[in-house]
Amino acid sequence: MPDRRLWRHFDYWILFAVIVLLLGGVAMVYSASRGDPVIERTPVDQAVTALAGLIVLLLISLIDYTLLKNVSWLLYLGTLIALGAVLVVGAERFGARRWFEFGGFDVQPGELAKLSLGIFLAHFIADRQGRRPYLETVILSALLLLPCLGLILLQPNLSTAVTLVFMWLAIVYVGGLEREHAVIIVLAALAMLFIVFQLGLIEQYQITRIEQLLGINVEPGETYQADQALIALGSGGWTGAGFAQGQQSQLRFLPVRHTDFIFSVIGEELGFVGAVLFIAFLAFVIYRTLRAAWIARDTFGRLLCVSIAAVLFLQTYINLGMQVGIMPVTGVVLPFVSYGRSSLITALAAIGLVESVAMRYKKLEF
Amino acid sequence: MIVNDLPIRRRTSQTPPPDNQGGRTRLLIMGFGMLVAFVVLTARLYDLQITYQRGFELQARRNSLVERKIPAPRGLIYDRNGEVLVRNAPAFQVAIIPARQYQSDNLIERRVKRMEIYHRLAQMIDQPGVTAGDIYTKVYAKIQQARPYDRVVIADNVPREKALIIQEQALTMPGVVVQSVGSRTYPYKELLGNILGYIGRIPAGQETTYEQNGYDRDDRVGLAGIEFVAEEQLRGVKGREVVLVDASGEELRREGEPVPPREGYGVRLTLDMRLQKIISDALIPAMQLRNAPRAAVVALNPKTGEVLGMVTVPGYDNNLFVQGISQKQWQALQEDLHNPLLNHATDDLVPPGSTFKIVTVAALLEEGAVTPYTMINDPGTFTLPDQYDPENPDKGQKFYCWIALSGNGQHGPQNISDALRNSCDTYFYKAVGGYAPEGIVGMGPDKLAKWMGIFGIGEPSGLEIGFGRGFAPTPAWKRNTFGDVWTTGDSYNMSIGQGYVLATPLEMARVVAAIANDGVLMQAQIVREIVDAEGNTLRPFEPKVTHKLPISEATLRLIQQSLIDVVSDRGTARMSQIPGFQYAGKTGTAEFCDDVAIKTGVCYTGIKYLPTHAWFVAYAPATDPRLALAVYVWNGGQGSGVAAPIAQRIIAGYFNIPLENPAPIQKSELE
Repeated sequence: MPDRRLWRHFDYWILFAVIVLLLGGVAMVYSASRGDPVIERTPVDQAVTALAGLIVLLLISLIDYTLLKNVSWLLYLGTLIALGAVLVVGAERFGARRWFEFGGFDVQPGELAKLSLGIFLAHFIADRQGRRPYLETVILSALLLLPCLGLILLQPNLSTAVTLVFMWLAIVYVGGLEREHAVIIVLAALAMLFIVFQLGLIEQYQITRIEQLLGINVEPGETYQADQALIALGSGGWTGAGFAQGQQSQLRFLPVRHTDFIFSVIGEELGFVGAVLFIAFLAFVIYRTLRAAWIARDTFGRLLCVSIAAVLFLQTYINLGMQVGIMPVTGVVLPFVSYGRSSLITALAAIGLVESVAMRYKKLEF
Repeated sequence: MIVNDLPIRRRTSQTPPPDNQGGRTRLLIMGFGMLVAFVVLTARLYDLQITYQRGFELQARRNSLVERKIPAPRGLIYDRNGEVLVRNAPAFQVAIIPARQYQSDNLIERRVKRMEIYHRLAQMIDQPGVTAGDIYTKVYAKIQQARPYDRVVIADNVPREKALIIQEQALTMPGVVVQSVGSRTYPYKELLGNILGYIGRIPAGQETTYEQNGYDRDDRVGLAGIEFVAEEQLRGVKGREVVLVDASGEELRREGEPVPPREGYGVRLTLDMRLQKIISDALIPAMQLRNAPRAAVVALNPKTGEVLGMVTVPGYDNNLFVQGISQKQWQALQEDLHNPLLNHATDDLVPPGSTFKIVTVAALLEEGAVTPYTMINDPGTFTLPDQYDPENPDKGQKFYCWIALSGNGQHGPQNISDALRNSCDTYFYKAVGGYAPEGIVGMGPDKLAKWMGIFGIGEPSGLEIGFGRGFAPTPAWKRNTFGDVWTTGDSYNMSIGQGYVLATPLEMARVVAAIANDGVLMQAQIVREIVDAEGNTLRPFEPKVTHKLPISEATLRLIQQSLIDVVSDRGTARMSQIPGFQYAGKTGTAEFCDDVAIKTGVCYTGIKYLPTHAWFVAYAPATDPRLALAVYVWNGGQGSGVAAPIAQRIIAGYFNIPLENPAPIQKSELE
């Protein structure tokens, strides 16, 4: 058992917030899957996964995150290989190859990449901090990220790619980006977008989803999911229809309501109050992650937390945004709340890293 | 960005963040950006959930609350005494709820098990168009539409016994359900088939018209007979209920109070089933005896125009149409030359023969062509001189009175009532067509045609069903149609209801009814009253007068007396008297050789005597008549030998007079 002093800095607040979100999530998954034989088992699954994830969280928090620096390149290469392999041997669902199937347990390498590449990029940038010109570091890190993005877009999985780019931006920004660099970065990002479109890496359905959001070229019935989500959320009012009482949710008009659209169930059944509470807890978790970055004892720890905060924020925002109709419909789940074993474990492992950073901050205690 | 207080070499990532201050500023900026983003999101959420909540709630309700119609029981049809002529009976359908079918994670096993069930079902149902493949196609089409709880009807009109067996075995066939829909059974089958008609699915191509009138696509509607003409009264008003459904269409519960349906109104006909059966019992054996394929009897209340009885043979079993007629049965009905689908009482256009002489007598007297005292000689046989060569007897056309043909010689001199009583053809030939050798100038065909119209022949009868109209020929018509001149012979034929004259049995019944009703021609009606479910009369019966015949009291009495005499020891229907009961009538034996006669081999070139329809019109009793009757038997032989005895049985039956020795029905003309 490591030093007892370690626990003094353990961030119980973030653990508390995460547990609240997990409990709320399991409850809402239960409400969403009630009476539907196909997804009947999901709440139990989710609860078991949450427990396992919490253990993972605690175990990871015990490990000194600085040890990860030794394996950061290994993580990078492993991620690259996994992303390549999934295109070949992965299971295809809904026209995308994103999953490895391990006897009923699905693993999405794209999901793990958010964590592993976060570690790698945080280390890569922190390690070169002060040794090499920062612009060179930024460009190199971008070049290292590119093959991963390419492989992810081949799945195809635009939202994960966008999340990774956002994460990279956050890391390089906090890592010390100067104003003049920012111009270059924006130009580079535009160039990347251009290349991506030119290479045809964007699928028609992705363009269609964005068109649907903007309300152009919409055919009737095409926006069924988004429409039903809006109806569910919108009918919630202040306090909602009550737990397990939402018509849209209980009568199954809401599609994939236990995963991607869980927030619509929350909005319909718990109302504006409930929805805002969930948002608040999520924002709180992100805030505590940024706090860990603030107090981190070294650059690696800080950037690591920044990468995690960035991913949590963007996932949350894309997911909620798609349900309130300000983001296109993508398969992004709501962290800690949506049903999904792979994503839940990853998110809790990430919080474990945050704890690891927070626990080891030095206030010059000897 | 770079803090210069440490040598570069010693800088590792383990050192504290080199730009603590700058990094923290950036963290703050980033955190602030995220906060703003969340605030924007929350504002949007507020807009959705609070500002526009009502609109979304309505949409949610529209999603899940579905208005269903509750079918209204169709109104019943009764005879005049309240006897039920049609029953509402459920028809059975076999349906499959796709979502409730056999489930298994093993897709091959699932498919095989389901197909096994389809095979079993198809075998049990045993209808054309219901094979395992057909079932599969229908069910999977529904699954494609993502409404797996919507029932897929795979067989209609499944007989009750089969439906019950399938229902029993449904436990072993998951997803299979037996459901019932409102349908009809017609207990009287052929006896009322042509009158009641039938209901069925909305005919293809008329869906929109029906839908505009508030029907749904799967509704059953009246398609023929009373079911068709009284559709508006019979259909009722559907009820409504609101049901909560889930996304797959499964009904969960009813919301609120349903609006109950209003049962269709009852239709009470003028028919008297007792009389209808009496007619049928009198007619059918006579037809069998004569081997006659077609006949019709119309019985009217002469004072009101009500149709008390109407039997048409061959008819059809209207249950066939409701239960789903097979191709074979449909073809048989279509190919029958005697057209069972046609109401022969209202739509058969045939020569009325001597029954028509009632019209001729009225015309002759009222037009002043003869007086009651005018005598015309009937030598039995005479020659009508050729128009252009009157001196040459070889060119003349020979005419016979029926009495000469039957071997009894001649009627001799006749006045008009003798002529009507004896049905003396020669009198009418000469009085209508003229006879130059005796200086008789005929009344001419145009006036007779006019009087046909006055008696309602060729005019609308007012009856709700059947639209056949007789035909009054004129010289102008003949010229326009055949480009040929009207001859005296044409007038002769017309005068005795032959030649080009056509009438329906209903029209002849109305002719005799008008005489019975002292010259007032009534509109025929078969719908008596409309009644609601509680038995209140919504539309009472109202007799409708077509018009009063422009006929003098004297002429009327003369005709009435002559018709009474017909059914006396002196008349042509002397065999068909009813002891102790006086009634009036007129026989008719109408020669014909139409398409059907030729096709059925009844009439052919070189035949010695043309085949004849047996006719008899009558009213009874002679004073204060309550029944007017037309009996018509296609190729039935003599009016006196066949139709009159049938009428005698009907009248005796209707007035409850026991007939000890009913008139024999002449089996053939050779007797």
